[in-house]
Amino acid sequence: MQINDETFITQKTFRALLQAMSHPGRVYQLEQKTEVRSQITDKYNLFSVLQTLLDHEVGFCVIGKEKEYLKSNISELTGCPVKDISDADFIIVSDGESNGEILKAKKGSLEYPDTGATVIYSIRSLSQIPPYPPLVKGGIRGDLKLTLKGPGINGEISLFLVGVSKKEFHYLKEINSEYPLGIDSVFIDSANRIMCIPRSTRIEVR
Amino acid sequence: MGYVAVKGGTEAIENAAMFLNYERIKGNSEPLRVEQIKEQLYLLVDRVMGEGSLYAPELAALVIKQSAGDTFEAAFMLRAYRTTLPRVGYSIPQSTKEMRVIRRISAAFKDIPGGQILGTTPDYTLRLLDFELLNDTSEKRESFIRGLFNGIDAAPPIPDSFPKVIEVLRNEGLLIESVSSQNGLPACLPERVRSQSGNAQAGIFDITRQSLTFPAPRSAAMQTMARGETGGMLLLAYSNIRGYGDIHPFLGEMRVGYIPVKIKHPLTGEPYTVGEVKVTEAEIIARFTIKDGSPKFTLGYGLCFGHNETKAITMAILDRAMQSAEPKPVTEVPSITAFEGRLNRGMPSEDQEFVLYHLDGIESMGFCNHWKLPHYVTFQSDLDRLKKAQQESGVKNET
Amino acid sequence: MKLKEWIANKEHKDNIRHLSACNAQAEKSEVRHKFSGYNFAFIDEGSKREIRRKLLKAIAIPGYQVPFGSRELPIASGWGTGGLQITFSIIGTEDILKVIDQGCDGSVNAVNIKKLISKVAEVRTTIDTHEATIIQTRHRIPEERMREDQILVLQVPLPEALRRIEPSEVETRRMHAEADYSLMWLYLYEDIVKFKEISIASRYPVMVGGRYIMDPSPVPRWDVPKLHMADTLYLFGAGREKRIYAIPPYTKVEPLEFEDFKFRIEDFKGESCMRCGSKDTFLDEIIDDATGRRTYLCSDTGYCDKVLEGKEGKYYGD
Repeated sequence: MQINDETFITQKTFRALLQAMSHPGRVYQLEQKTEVRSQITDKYNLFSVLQTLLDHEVGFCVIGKEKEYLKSNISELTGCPVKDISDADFIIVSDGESNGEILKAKKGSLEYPDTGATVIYSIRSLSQIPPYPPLVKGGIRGDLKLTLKGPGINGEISLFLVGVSKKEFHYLKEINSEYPLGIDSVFIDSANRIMCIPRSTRIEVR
Repeated sequence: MGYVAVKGGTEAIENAAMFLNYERIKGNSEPLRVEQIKEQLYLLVDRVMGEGSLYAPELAALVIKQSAGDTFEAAFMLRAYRTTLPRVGYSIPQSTKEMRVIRRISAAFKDIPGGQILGTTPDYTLRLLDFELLNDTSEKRESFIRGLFNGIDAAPPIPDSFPKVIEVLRNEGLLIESVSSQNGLPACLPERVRSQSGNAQAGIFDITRQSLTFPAPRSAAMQTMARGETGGMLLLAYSNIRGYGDIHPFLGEMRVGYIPVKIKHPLTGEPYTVGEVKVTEAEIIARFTIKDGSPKFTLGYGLCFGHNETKAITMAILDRAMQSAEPKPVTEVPSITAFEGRLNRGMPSEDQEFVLYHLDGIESMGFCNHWKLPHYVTFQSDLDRLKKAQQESGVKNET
Repeated sequence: MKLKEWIANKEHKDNIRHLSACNAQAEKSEVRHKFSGYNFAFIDEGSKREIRRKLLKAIAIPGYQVPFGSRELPIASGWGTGGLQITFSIIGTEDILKVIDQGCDGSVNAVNIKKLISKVAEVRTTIDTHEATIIQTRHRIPEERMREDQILVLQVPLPEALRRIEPSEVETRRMHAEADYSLMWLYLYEDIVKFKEISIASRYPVMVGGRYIMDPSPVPRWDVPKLHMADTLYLFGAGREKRIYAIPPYTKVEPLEFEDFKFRIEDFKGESCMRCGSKDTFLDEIIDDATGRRTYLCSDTGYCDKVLEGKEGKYYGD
């Protein structure tokens, strides 16, 4: 039997993703790995997820900062071809801000809603408890409180995000307004934590 | 206690596996060598490779031995082995014009460009038992072969390439490529296919990576049939030509031979031949009236691994049958008058979903056999409903 | 052309050289296969990646059947290949695996599947529902309440709940797309007219999240309520039919019923397990060879053992 490092990392990462997608709004810790296969060290967390999901059978696009750098590195690492946003299966939002671009994403068809895209946000911080000391910038709190309801959630769940704007969730709500059409989102923070919001989740933003 | 017997099975299934082995080897004959199967039961090997969708004569011979000659089991083992092999690349589409032909016939024309080559066929032999084979010896074989080649000088070589018979029709404008489409993908291709088809190989559906969606593109239908179970395909095709359908096919051309497998060289990008595979190809011609009312010929195409003429021809018939102008689903309700009912009734062989979902031998064999697995929980549940229904309808329960 | 001439041709020379390089490569990989065995968890990483992508979509759209490119496995189609492919795609070396068929760990098919998984994934196995992290099952959901950190993988023979009313996939897919389930309700109504009760025994259709009618696999009706607002993730795999679907935890799962003709679980009329004495489990009916007498045993043998040893877990419906 052969178990190489990649097999091991992707299996662990997938199990975290599986739990996170089954429990929207719950924050899970990805395994911290010191060994990194590629030269990209700063976004390792993001890359362990991409390595788990992307390959030549699907297509991806990047929105936001470091677009070109990420594009070529992701392509090289996963063999996944770059596509237009309207055709991509995975959309990587590198700084938590799509500026409404995600509204162009594939939502799937009524016969095949699963062809809707998955959007992966790289953001600063995800937490089940509010950040302390509170982030205040010019009188405005820098964190965002989400309250979620729906399948996978026992009643409701709240969490706090830093590095993503309130507007982004309006876009998400808009593109997911015709269930079962829509997109599913994965959030990854700088401390290797992940959280998912599938299209079936109802979002409330404070 | 009948049902309990299926529990505590570890030992039982290990013993059963050993008995299975024993059954095959318990006789007094010499062990069967894989090489013998490969050479002397080559048609069986070809059939198993086709249905197992893996071109590997030696492994096919091995699984035939291992399965004691059960073609379903053998093809299944080969298919399961296939799953474990990495996909290292894609071969370049290959025209069969370049086939190294060992047999080639046309039933539609008396004389064909390049000539008919009868090759190896049992078609015109008398099916009488050859009792000589009961005492087959190497000496007898050698003397037969000596006799066969005695006095034959170097025969003129068979040309590298033969023109296609259907080209004649094509050049005269008598042929349209297919009813549903002029090229690969039909216009009604579902979104998921369109969205995925750009990846591995443009426009070609991959049934080993995607599950079928309907209407299925012709490439998906072709792949499904190429690994279909020969007997199942024969049944469906026969139903069409016998009366449950309307295809009146002519065999335009059938050829058996070897085609090169070429890949793009990873560095130079140039085509490179990495080997060759034996295939059987059949092209059937059937009449069809296009929208402006003028009659044309259309083509039904079949190609499978190895030498399997029955399969190639049935595949071509089914390909053509599934292109029927407006196929009606099998489930459609017949109309009132008998004649209208006859016209409106869907023909199984023309219903793409019906054909493609039911001709895989590995799937159908697996599911039919799964009824041997214990079902006592669902049976208990059914008993409960049955007793309840009897109670409701006043039938006295006997317990 | 003579062979010598053919070989002398430059293009052919290159071909031959390349061919021998390929052969050498093939031989090397052959060696790899023969001596180091199969990949971890049998199927290759690319196939796992596809199944994993489909699993996430299945969870995101509870009850919707996601098509996937099912692979052939060394056990027959219809014998649990869908469940196996899911298990292979999620399992890791730290998992503890339980496999049951008809509720029983020792059933021949369960043994066979467990043997295969533990051979290619080197995981620990157990018969204790409580201890397992992944449970693969055919036809039953364990009696013990499962936890959030556990996953139940169900083997599915016929994933389409609407197939009993409509044979065509194109048509049933349209029904799901439009949430047009009127025919299904009509079927239930006619059933009641005929039998004065809904006669569906197992594979009882359920409505998931108020949107999709779903086949819960051939579990008895007894197990259907366990799907509703559960703590556990349920993954369904149909290998031959090439579909994956899921019920995330805390999801509404309602059996189809009318207000005046309710869904009802199997009635054992107060019978109890002759081994452990349980009165609140699904029972197998056993007919004694000698006396012809009917007796009953727990279908969930692991649970039966626990009750017998006096350390049973938490009951359902507490």
